[in-house]
Formats: sequence, C-alpha cells, structure tokens
Amino acid sequence: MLETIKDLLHFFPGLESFALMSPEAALVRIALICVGFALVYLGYKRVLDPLLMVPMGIGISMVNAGILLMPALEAGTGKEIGTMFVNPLVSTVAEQVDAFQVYFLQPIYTLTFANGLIACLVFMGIGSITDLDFFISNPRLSMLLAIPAELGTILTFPIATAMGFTPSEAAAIAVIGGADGPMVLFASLQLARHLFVPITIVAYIYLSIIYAGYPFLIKAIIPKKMRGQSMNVSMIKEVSPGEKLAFSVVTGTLLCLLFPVAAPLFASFFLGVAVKESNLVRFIRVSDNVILSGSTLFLGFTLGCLLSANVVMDPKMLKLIILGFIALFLSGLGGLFGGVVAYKVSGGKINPLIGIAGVSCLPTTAKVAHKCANEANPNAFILPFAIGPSIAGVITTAIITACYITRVSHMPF
Amino acid sequence: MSGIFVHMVFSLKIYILATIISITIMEIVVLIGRFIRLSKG
Repeated sequence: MLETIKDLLHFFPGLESFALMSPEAALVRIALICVGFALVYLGYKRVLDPLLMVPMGIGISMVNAGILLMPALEAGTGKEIGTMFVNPLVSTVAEQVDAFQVYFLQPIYTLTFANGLIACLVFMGIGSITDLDFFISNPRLSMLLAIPAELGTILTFPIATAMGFTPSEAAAIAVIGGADGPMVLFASLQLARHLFVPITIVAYIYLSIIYAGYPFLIKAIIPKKMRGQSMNVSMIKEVSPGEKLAFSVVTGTLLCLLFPVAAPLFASFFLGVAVKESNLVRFIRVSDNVILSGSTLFLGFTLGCLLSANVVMDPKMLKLIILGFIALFLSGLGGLFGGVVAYKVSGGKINPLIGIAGVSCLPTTAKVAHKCANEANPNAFILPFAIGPSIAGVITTAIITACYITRVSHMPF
Repeated sequence: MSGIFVHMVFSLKIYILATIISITIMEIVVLIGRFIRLSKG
C-alpha cells in the first residue's frame, strides 16, 4: 500500500514535493494556493482591483501548486525544490543563460523587473491617460493638498527603523505611503532588492483595498455637511495642450536634473504626458492599450509567481503588513487634514475630500473622494477637482522617493 | 530612543526638501502658464 502511494506520488511531482517540504512550509503553501483563489474571486467580484488581482491570484495559486524536485542550476549540486516559473536568485551570467531556458517567466523577470523597466512602462502608460487640466489650472492648490498627503511616506520611515529595518529597507517600505505601485516597485528595487517581492505585493494588495477602506476613514473624520460640499466648475480654467506639453518637458527635465537616480521614472511619466498632449494618436493607443495593459498584466502575474512559501514565512512579512497599513492610514489622515485646512481657508468653497486624492493612487483616491462626496450630496461632482491633487501626489511621491534614494546612501548612521 | 529621533529628523528633512522642490515646480507651472498666455497676447 505504502509503495503504491509512493509510486503515485512519484508520478505526480507536485504532490510529491509536499512530502519533501517541512510541514510548516507545506501548510503555508496550501494557504497561499487558497489566498490565490480568494484574490481571483475578489477581483472577479470587483471588491479588489481586478486588473491586478486576477493575474496575481492566478500566479500565487499556480506557482505554489507547481513545485517539483528539479536539477539545481549550479552544476554538480544535485536537485532542489523549485518551479518552472521564475528563479529570482540567479546571479551569474552563466546561471542567467541557463535560467532563460528553464523558467518561462525568467526573461520577463530579468529584462523588466530586475532593472525596474516594468515600473517605468506602467508609469508611461499612466502618463498617457492622465488629464492635467485641473492640476495646471490650479497648481498651487493641487500641490499644497498633495504635500500633507505624504505624511505616511515620512512618518513610516522612523517607525520602520524602530521596528528593526535598516534605513534603506525602511525608506523602501515608507514609499508605500505614497500609494503609487510602480514607485514602490522602483524604490524597493533600488533600496532593498532582497525585500522587493514582499514590499511590492503588500503595497499592491493595500492599494486594491484602498477603494473599500478609505471611505470608512473619510466618514469617521469628515462631517456629512463638509463631505457634500459642491465645487464651482469655473475653478477649472481651459488649459491649452501647448501649456501642458511645456509643463511636461520643463518639469521632467528639471526633476531628472535634480534626481538622476529616479530619472527613468520621471522620463517615462512625462514621456507619456507629452505623447498625450502632442496628440500623437498612434502612440497614445500603444501606450494605453499595449504598454499599460501588457505591463499591468505581467506585473500582477509575475509578482504572484514570486510569492512562494519561503517569502511569506520570512518573519519580516508580518512587520511589512503592519507598516504598509500604518503608511497608508497616515497618508489618508494627512490628506484629509490638508483638505479640511483648504476648506476652512477657502471659506467652504473647496470640498475637503479632494485632500485624500493627494494620496496619489491615481485615479482610485480621486474616485473614492468623488464617491463619498456624491453619497453625502448627489449634486456634488468633485472628480475633476480631485484629479489635480492626485497628479500632484504622483509628482510629490516621485520627489520624496528620489530624495530617499539619493539621501539614504549618504546617511551617517 | 536617540536612533528614532535621528531617523525622525532625517525624514523631516526629506519632507522639507520635497516640499521646497514641489513648491518650485508649482511656481514653474504658474510661470509657464503666464508666459504662454502672454505670448498669445
């Protein structure tokens, strides 16, 4: 009987691999397969962002199911437990060439993840669909609302170091507070490459939850009368495409000059903006339909495939989950504080909810602000006003990320 | 405790630096707008 079971297990290497793992690792693996199912379901039901959660959930389930005993990449070291998906641990050129022939996602991982290209591609796509009108017609208001919404990005840094993370790791984690997925990916690749998978996955899952979570924060803090404040559409002046193009060229160049280390991100975003404002229809179609959609698909799927049991069993994972929550909670709080200040200073002409749109998760936070305002007052239409602080939030998050990347390496501690 | 204080000061410095740069960019946007409107007459 035992022999039959052994033969049967040998016939199905995925099942056999359970017997080769520690009981804890096997349990975590089963739990991750279930987490993958849950993410797909929640994405399908539109509770979480389906564009990311469906590919990520499929990646998590299937990579944790498809584990087998396979020859080690390093010659003469016998066999090791692995998958046919991706191996993020290869380092030498020879191993890389071998890995390209074994792991089907290895080319995507090496050529787009390891150098941060995927984050830049997503950013380029976002740039090509971003509407700059409110931001350019009210740059002061947009920027001043985005700055307090970076509270989480700033305060999470000392909290993370107090929890035992190194300054580089803490800075990468703090960027979660900026609520900008590609930025988190880019920062973690630059500052804490060994933690980029858990940090990015925690960030993307939280960014999906924001749509459901921030309304509770808004309703708990802002009274209904303030939430339902209408805004005057005449605040949005007409901005010519030439003005928006000039803004993208000058600002992008200036930011690259100040922070060469984050220049790929700035260049990608402002290239997307410039393509849109130059009305290059063919490029706009490629940026939106091909680059943004394709990179989002592979971003979600590859991140899911990188979430194996040993990543989750890292004791740092629980701390990351706590810190991710703190970062986004503080940023939401800061954004609402900025919004309330703007409401008071303007004599009630500005809806305070556009402050939370400064948490740059474009366009989710702007949609959340609009949804909450609309629930309080069906005549309140604040979406175009909320997009301005949201775009300013992308720029301030990029600036803070660049400051962290530049300064952390020069820290005296 | 002093470690946390040092890190807090560091992150506040980053915040101030980022605020200054953001405000500079904001003023550049305003200037570009003015320049383009002036050049159109």
